[in-house]
Amino acid sequence: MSTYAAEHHHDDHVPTGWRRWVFSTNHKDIGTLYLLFALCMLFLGGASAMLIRAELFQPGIQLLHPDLYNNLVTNHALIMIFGAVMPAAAGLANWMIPLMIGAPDMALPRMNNLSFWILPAAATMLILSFVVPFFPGGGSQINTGWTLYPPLSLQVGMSMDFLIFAIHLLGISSVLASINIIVTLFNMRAPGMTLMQMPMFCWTWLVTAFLLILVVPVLAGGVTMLLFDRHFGTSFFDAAGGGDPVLFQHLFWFFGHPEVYVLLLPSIGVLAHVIPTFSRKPLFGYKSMVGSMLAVATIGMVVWAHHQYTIGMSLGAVTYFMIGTIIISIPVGLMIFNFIATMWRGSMTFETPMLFAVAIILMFTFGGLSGVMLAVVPADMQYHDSMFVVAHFHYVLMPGAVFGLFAGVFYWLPKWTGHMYDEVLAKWFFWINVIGFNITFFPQHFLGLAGMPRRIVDYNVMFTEFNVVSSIGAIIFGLSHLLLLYIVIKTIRGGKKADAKVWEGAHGLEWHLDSPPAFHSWSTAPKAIELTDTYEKPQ
Amino acid sequence: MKNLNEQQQKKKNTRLAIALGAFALLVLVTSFPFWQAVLVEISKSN
Repeated sequence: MSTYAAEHHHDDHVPTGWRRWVFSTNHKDIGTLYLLFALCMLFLGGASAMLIRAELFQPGIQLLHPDLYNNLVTNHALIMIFGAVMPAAAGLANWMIPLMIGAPDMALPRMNNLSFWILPAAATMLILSFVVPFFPGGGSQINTGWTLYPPLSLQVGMSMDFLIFAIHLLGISSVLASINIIVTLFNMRAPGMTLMQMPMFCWTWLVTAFLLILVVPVLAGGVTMLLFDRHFGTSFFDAAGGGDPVLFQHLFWFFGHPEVYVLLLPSIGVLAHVIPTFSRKPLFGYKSMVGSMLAVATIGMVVWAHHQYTIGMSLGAVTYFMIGTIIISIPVGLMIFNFIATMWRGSMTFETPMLFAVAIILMFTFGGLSGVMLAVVPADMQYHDSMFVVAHFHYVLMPGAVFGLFAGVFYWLPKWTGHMYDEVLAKWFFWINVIGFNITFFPQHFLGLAGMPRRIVDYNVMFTEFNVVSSIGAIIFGLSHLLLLYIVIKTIRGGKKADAKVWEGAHGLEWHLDSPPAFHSWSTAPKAIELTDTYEKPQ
Repeated sequence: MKNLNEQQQKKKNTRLAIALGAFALLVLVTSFPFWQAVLVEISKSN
């Protein structure tokens, strides 16, 4: 048992029963709640994806009415983004940030409880928005996609109101969690730890939290105006009343594009720990990583309209948005360069988190390259609203966000549970998952380039072969997550005892605590010797 | 970071949280008139 854990066992009162979870103010318990919630949403969002791919297995309409198909597309996106990826990243943040900076808990523990418990209410509203149209008088299905563009979103029935309130609740939860994380990182760091000595995962979350505070209120404003247009006689977006539907697109993407970085950055933070640990080298270019992140966040805030090239902007506007978008590839490329430089001549081993890290570098770079293709205005006129876009953003978001979260879960699971996970099964999961992912989404590039539109339930018979391959891949990919569930449950229930320092090459404060850490950790601040045991030293 | 007692720490945390919350509200409020004026013009500029 480590010194600090032993010192603090005397006040290690652990509440029991349902009160422990419902009234929890403990960062580890709330982190666990976030992760379990995200896992449930991952399966819900995954089920809708499987239905979509089942429908697209053959041309023609087999299983789903066109409106139901689009309702599934809408819900799949919203559940995965707001229900699975963001809460999972918040779960990692809750668990790891206090452990990494030597803080006893998050700065505002009660607000932490509130930000989590808003989520189940929001998820209920989100699910209701999907099911309400099935009831008599429930109105039409939400067939807008996650972008909720008017005029369609002004015409949908009451399910759109459920969705708008769900977005309000999700936004409140995100902003409260972001405030908590910023305050924790600014005010709760161990004495002696400067901002430029913070672990990189904390830096990525600091930038992410600021991004969320800057863009989520704009989305909230946008959907509130939508609500007013629907029910209170305003005409912000209603052309019949002198409003402008394109205004909503601007508001939505002012949120929507930085949201991509909100999803990506925490996973980049995970990689910044996994790669040095399994390369047994310090992270290459700490300062340039921080600088790149700030550059990505700043430029990412001012290039939103590259999602809207086809609406008919002026030449000056599209040129600005095109150049700005392409410039983002420079700081992102620098991050990838730093990861490769960290691995260069390292004493590398390939445990599951490292396998995911390497896969992310390869596939996320691939997704980034198709992003540069989409950023070019004349080319985008061809690709816009085609399956190429679907392939692109899944190549960015699955490796860039979800695989990063998987890497983080496998990296820290032994620390959380006190048990080593089954490495053989985890490697099986990795290979099945990554191969299934590529079989699903790689053919969609060709489908898009050949002209298959997205968000349409039916397609021309000439697209059949690639769609069959994609759907078979989706079955493999989707079912592989059952293996993840089994591995996680097995690790929670037992297994080989994990040491305090789970990975031989790992450095940082969190590895000075027991696995699992005591219920109350870092009740006294870590000493200087622990602070020096970190790779996050400016080079 | 300086060593603060628990009460000082809570006060400091609460102050920063209120400031950040006020900033988020400011973003929300300004998103209504500001964006309508500027972005409608961008949309019409073609």
